[in-house]
Amino acid sequence: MGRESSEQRCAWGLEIGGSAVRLVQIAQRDGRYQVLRFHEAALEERWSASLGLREALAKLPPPPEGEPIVLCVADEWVLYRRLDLPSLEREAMEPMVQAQAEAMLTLPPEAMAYGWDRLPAPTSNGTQPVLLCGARREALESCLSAVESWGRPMRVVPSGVACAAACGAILDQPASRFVLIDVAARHTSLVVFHDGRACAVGVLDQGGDQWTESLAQAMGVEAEQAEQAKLAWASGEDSSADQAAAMQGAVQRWGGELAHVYQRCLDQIGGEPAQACVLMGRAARTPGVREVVEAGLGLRVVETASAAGLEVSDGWPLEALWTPVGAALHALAAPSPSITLVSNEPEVAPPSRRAVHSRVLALAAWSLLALAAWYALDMRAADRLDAQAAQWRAESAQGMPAAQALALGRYLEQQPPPPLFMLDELSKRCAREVTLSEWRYDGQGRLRIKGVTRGVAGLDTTLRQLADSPAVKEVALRSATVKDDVWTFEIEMQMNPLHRYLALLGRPAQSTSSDAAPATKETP
Amino acid sequence: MRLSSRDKKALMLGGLVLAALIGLRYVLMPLNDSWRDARQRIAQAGDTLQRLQDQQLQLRAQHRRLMDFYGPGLAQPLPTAEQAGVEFVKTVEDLLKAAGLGSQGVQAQPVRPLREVPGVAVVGLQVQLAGRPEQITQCLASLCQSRQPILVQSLTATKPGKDGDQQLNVSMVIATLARWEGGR
Repeated sequence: MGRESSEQRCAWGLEIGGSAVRLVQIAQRDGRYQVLRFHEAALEERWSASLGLREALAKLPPPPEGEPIVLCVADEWVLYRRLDLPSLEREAMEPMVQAQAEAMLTLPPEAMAYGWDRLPAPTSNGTQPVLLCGARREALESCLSAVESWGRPMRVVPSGVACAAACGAILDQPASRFVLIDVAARHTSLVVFHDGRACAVGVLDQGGDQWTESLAQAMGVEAEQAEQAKLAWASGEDSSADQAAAMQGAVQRWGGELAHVYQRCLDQIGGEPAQACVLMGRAARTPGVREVVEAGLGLRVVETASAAGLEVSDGWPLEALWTPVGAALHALAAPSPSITLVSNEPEVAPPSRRAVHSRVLALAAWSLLALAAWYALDMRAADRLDAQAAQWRAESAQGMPAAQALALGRYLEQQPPPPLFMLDELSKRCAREVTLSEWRYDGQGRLRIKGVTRGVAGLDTTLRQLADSPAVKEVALRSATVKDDVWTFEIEMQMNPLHRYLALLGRPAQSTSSDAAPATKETP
Repeated sequence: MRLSSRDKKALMLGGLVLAALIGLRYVLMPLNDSWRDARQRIAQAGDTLQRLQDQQLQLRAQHRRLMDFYGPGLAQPLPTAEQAGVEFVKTVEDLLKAAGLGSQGVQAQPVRPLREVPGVAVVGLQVQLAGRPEQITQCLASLCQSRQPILVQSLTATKPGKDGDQQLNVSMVIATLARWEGGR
């Protein structure tokens, strides 16, 4: 709602009163309000059957797009009633209020417009006070059609409700319980405030125009002339005694009627009187009105020359601003009470049952779809992995199964080194003077060699070096005979398994189950 | 028969409960079982693949280590015993010829299954030969690089002549590996 420009929100209020139409633009910033624009156009033909509403509206500048606008109509078109209903949910109270509205307006439902809101309940006796406003739909729609050329959607609220909203939001509260009296051309609205909130509304169908008519009768002139005379008298110009008496009498009668309205309002809210009164409306400046109110209603009248929460440019009449400002406040936010009689704004309807069902179904369908996709992905992954494993097995089966190949490898690593490596070791480890004549390898890791050497040193060296060989596990001299210092000998060796041989060479094989000994050579 | 709205609601509720039970029994529970089965299959296949991958890595490392001792033939699929026997004789003759050794006799040994490795047998040959030491050495080196893995099961080398004679008589039993299919 409202255009936001550096936290400033703007809105418009249009008042169609009994004597003039007024348009204001207000801005809200940091909890304060400022009247930016004010336009007023008099209803020139208000004394005739036609008000001349379209002609007056044509003199006002149309509000720009994007800034909300609320229209308020004069209370003379509106009936107010305060109801005490069982305290229920709003939906449950709606039929009761509608029945009361039909009884109040005695109109078929299609011909009436009504709105209602809860009022603060001073006592907690289980009932909920409700303010009900009703009007003829035709009259309200004629107002809307008069501003149709602006091409703006708007709501219609009663003047009393708008004025109460403005008073509750902006006015310095003179007392915890006070009365707002808005004296308009053809009616007078009376709102009782309790702790800053409107709790009762009364309307008197008499205003400044009735005083003009009384003066016209006394002077025997037309209404327009009487109006001029009334304004001259109100501004302090000289007037005849008859005119003054006629005016004072009219104001006195108005005061008496207003006292009845006030008393009815007090009866509705428990009878406790207010402590102060605020007068609004141009007619309230008529001499004698203040005294009549103070005497007739027994209330202290408080001046409203300024309002702490509202900034108004000099020259703009504050008393004429309250009602359109209240309408603009309705456009900015929904003050309390918030009562809309009719509206041509597009409704933001809550989602229908069907829409809710559709959303739930869509959510369920998406969930099912996601679940199905998850399931399908899992099935696909399982099939793919199964196929991979099967393919790997098939590839392995073409050669040797991996487990069998590993077992075979382990078997081969348990075997001694092939004879070539034994021979290599023998050639490296036997002493130079040793000559081998026979060697036998039995396939069980045992190697017997026979040979001759001159001197025992060669035999001794050979035995020691063979014992150091990584291929040899154990070395034993089986026989040795000497003749002329020529030694004939037979040596038996137990060869290391291949994996140990590799480990001792510094090329460790994988550990085997049968041999986990450290790769160190034991010297026999 | 006219049904009250309460009856209709009761019937509708009963129908919904029945439909929910049928759906649970014949749709949701089988689906849940199938899904659980799929999850198990994924886990098992993952484990299997991991195990196979580990085995492959171990095999490659093992082959690298054994390659110097048993030649490149170790990585080849094992032939049947019959194929291995025929091929082995030819391989040995080629090796001896390459080493310049004359064979004094090649005698086939019975095929013997390896107790330590089920499904694998050794196909043996007893070879008698004579030659100079360097020829014997070359022959033994060729055994380690043969196209078939060759195991020397026993070997006897003697020097029959006098001191100046370098001739060696060698008798050895060598074997190759074959697929053992239960004696067939």
